Amino acid sequence: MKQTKHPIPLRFVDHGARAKLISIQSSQRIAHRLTELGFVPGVELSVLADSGSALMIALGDTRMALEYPLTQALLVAVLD
Amino acid sequence: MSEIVVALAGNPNVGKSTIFNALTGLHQHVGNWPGKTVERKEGRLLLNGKTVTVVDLPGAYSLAARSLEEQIARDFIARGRPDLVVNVVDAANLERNLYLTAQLLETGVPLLLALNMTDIAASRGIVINPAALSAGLGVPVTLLAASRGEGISALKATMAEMLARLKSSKQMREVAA
Repeated sequence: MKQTKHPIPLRFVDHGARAKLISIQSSQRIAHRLTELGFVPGVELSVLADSGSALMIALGDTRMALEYPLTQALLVAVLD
Repeated sequence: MSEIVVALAGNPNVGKSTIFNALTGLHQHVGNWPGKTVERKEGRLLLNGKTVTVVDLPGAYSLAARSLEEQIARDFIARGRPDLVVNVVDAANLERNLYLTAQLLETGVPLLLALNMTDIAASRGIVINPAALSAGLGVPVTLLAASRGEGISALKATMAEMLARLKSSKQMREVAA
């Protein structure tokens, strides 16, 4: 499985593309909360929809809506 | 005789309410948590001739409360001190679910792990060894597929057994003190 060289914010991942979470770049508080919700480095996720202010993320069976600033904090490697 | 209280805790969408309905049937009471606009569901269940109050807690990802629902769940477990907490976990998403389980274990409350959605997990090829999970966590584990009604009687049996054991250890402590 090939990975992109540099991690990019989840915000810029194309719909439907699979990505692997590399790290969370945010305050401790936000990073902690995202981790509680299952955004643990190493998990695979994908973008299902874009509302214009938030992204719908698929994380295993779970669907979560994250506002743009949060999706900016999640650095991922796109898988293909 | 004091009332026996069992709380159902777990992440959102793991089947807590399905299990709650299966346990209590029509003997339910829906209200609100004091001062909060979060529904409080309470029901009664007869276990070995004793009436047990079952409380369906709001879904929580963590006890480090960020939302009102999580605060209520935490406060009920930490301050309400239920006699037993049944932690419902989604077998198909075990990793994330066990985070809350670890926090519940840290509170020291008597815990029973109800591994739900085992049918969905099995369809994905996820096979869980309940004995290993139980040994690792140090709490009893029961398997369920609550949407199909499977595992409810085993859950009741484990609950009854744990409550009986907790009661006798409580009495022993009281006699010792």
